[in-house]
Amino acid sequence: MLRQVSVCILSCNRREDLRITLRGLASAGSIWREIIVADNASTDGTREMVRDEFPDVLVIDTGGNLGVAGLNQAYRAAAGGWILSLDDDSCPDLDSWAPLCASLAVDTRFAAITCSVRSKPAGCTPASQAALVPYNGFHQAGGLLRRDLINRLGGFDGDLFLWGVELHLTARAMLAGFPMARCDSAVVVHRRTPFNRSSRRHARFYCRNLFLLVLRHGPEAVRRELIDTFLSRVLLYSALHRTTIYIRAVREASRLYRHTRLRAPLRSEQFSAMHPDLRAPFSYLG
Amino acid sequence: MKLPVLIVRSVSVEMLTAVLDACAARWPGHPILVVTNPARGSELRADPRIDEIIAYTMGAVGFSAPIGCPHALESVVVPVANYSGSGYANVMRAARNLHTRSWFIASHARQLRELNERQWTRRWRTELMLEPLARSLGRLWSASIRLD
Repeated sequence: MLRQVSVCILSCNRREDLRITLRGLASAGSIWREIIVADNASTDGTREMVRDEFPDVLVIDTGGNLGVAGLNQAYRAAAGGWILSLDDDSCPDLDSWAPLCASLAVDTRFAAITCSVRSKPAGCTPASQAALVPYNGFHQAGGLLRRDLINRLGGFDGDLFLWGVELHLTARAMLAGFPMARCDSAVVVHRRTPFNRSSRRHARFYCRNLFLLVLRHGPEAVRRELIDTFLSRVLLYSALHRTTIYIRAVREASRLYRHTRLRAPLRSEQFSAMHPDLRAPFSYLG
Repeated sequence: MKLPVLIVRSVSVEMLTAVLDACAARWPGHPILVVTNPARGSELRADPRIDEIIAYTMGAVGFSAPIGCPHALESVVVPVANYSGSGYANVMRAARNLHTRSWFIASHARQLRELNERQWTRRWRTELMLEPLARSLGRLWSASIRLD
């Protein structure tokens, strides 16, 4: 099954982490259809390192720090029937992948599979555990997307940059009728490198993208209530964290909403099934 | 018999790994319990460091009902993505009735920091006390946003 999988990795200025990831992927031998790195304009020699040390890996220079829009370029270039989406610091623990591979060989319902993304390899999987469980969510640092979903949706929304982008993809996949699942036994180890991480950027983009999610996909019946609640949290945590980041993020989201004019409400039960944690953007500062 | 340590899964499974390591190092030999949404319990079941998973059904706004646990506890640990635990008032409030010797937050889901009971209560009360005012202002702001 892994021969049908194109591995797509998003990278930006984390050369050493990417090297570890590529070594991990290569250690299993030539089991993947291909490995593609979408490099978001790294200035630390990432592209040169890949070309020198991993000549079989295709590097795409995305031309700027585009966030997930860069990853979309890799998705489009990929030839496999499935795409494994990874970060530069995440790598599958293939010892745990046998149940997933066996299930995908016989169960063709799901168009997206979220792996169990952890910071360490897992122990053994209980034999009684079902490999695939319906689940409305996705993890960009460790998940499989089927080719037809990519073709139909075009990947992530390129306007969103990073953080919270998976919820938008999930909403669009649900509206397009693509069933999604998770596989708790298939582990992807996400080392969560401390390099090139910023709590302020995280808070800003997460807040913007979640508010935009409510504006675009909030169910008609509860949309105003969700907006009220979200904005009250913006004000509360702006005061508690003494920052204007959240207010600016809401303004950006409103501008994006007006600009794109995309309104595609989910049903209430669909929205709830995504379990969007609308408190989460406010838990990175303070 | 060592009392168990209870960790509330208030961060992703991914971030929880470091908290489990920190708890195992701080309280060696103590059983570790994890409170989590039952839908995500299977992800944790294979982890050998966890002795028991306690199912908690989330409300519409996450941790809203009190967390139930029949055991007396050595400590309650709430992992938080930031330093201070601001933003986790609902989780801290949900844990307030647990019978425990100590209270900890795991700052940045790594570093264990002890709070006394007064500090614990003040954290969530301050945040929740300001909520009604923020809600009123939020409604006013919301009314100024055109949705069509």
